[in-house]
Amino acid sequence: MTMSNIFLISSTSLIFIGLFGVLTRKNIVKILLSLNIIETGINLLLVAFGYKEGGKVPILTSSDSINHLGNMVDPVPQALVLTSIVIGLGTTAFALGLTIRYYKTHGTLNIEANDEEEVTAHE
Amino acid sequence: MNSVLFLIVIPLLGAFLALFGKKANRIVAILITAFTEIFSIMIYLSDKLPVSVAIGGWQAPYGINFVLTPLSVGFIVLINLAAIISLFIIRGEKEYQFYSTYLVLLAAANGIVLTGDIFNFYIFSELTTFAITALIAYPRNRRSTGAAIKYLILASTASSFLLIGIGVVYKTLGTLNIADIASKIDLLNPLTLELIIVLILTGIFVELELFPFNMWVPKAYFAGTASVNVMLHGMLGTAGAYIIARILLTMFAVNGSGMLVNANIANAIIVIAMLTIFVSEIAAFNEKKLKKVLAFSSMGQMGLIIFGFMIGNEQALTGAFYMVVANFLAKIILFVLTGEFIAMTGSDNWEDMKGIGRKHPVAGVSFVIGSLSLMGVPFFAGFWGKLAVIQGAMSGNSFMITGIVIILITAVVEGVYFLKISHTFFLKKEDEKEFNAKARIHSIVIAAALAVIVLAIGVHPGLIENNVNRATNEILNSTSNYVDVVFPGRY
Repeated sequence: MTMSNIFLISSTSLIFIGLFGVLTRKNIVKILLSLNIIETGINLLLVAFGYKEGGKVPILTSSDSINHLGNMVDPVPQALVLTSIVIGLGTTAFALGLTIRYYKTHGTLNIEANDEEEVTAHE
Repeated sequence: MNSVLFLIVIPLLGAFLALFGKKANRIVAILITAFTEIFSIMIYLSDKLPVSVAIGGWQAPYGINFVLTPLSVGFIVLINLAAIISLFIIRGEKEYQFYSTYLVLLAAANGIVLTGDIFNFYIFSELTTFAITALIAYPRNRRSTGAAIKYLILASTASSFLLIGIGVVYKTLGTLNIADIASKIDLLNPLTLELIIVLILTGIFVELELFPFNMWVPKAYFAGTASVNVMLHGMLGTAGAYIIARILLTMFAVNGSGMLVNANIANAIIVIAMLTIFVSEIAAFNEKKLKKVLAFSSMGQMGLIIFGFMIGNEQALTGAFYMVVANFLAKIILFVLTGEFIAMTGSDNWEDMKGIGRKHPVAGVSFVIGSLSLMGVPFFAGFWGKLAVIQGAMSGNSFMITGIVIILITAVVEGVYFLKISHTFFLKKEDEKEFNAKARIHSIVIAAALAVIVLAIGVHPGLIENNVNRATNEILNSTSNYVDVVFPGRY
């Protein structure tokens, strides 16, 4: 089994583990953890798409390195992963902030809590 | 044409500056939105369209480009119009958080429509998700927090599938440029193509308010304030209609037909759209909260628009574009007036709104005009859309004939509940109690002006016929038109 296949298999398993968590957990913090597992899986998948066996860093260090372009890994997926990590960080931070508010207004972290009736105990 | 970047940069700059502004925020937001609206109208009327703008001088497909076609700039005009109306009906939102997130939403909605790069599209759609979540959560009560966090979890899970789809596109075609993908789509293995389409569809279905993914819609509309409702409907919903036209009917289209490249998936989307229409209209029929009724009706109209787009012949596409404009105008009237009525009676329930139409006949009549247009009664704007979609579906297969039956049945259901609601407004008020608040004149003027436009389009559809035909012709030959703008001479 090549390295690339290992990456692909582990990233898809991460994605499905995360999806399972999002679909089955009731606790909001656990759901957000599962979301982060999905994001990690996607990042690994994107990097695996640009992976090359024995590839080099895609930086032109000398005038000679222009001749070795074929050995370099694809830099675009790595740029995508960087952006996607930042977006994932933003989602997590924002969602955790909302979760604190959710706990204050609902008195629980259960996602199935009723949104309609007002509680005042935890205000 | 590099100045088109202003449509995104200036709102983002304003979003940053709004953190420091105190009382001036509302004025600044209105000025920025007025600028983007006037600027986009000027681009639409200029004869420079269509054009592709390479950002930073890096030519496509290596750099990110913005594509301005009559279709995309037309949608920008609609989105900014909704934005400016939503600012005028603000009631009591004074803090900088509201204006800052609103300006991010404006930039992101403009970006979704303008961008010619699929990864850029993903980023802008994530930005709209964040902004709209913050706007829904703005009232800070139990209802809005619950709605916001549910939308955020659903949307981020869905958009991770969009990202996987984009990754597979890059792995197989080696490009992220929409025009480049569109011109190479025939090279893909059919199974890979199916996988990509399903992944990307999963990502965008949440924003399109389609049936299995739309349980956030009534919660979000119900929790948001009136101006957030207008933003959700007028900015996000309109951008959603553009996403169908651009992603499904340009990127994944059979060249020269305006049809989705995979007929099985097109049929599946049609079935989903019909289910959406059916379920949402039945749900609206049973609902007592006026905002939720409008949210369900919004879902139904979205299903109708997608049904029109997926049929793919000229009639149906024209109808779908008419539906976009008519639904845009009519639903804004209803949301603006609903905000006023709820503030006046202090109740979400339409049964408590007796006598409002008698007190404010202009508002009442505008509401009736908006709802008649949504039903598709002749002499109102929505009629031409429904008529053309049905005409287009007539020439289709048995699936589409079933769709016609569903549209006609649900039109009756829609008629019953909208007339029931409108009738309540003109009943005599039982108690002599005064209303809690006064209706604001400018909201009623906005609603009445839009109602006049709806009537004018209904009586004389020639008013927007040229623009609709321009859009239809672009979509009919979408791939070659679009690719030709970005890569002249490739087709």
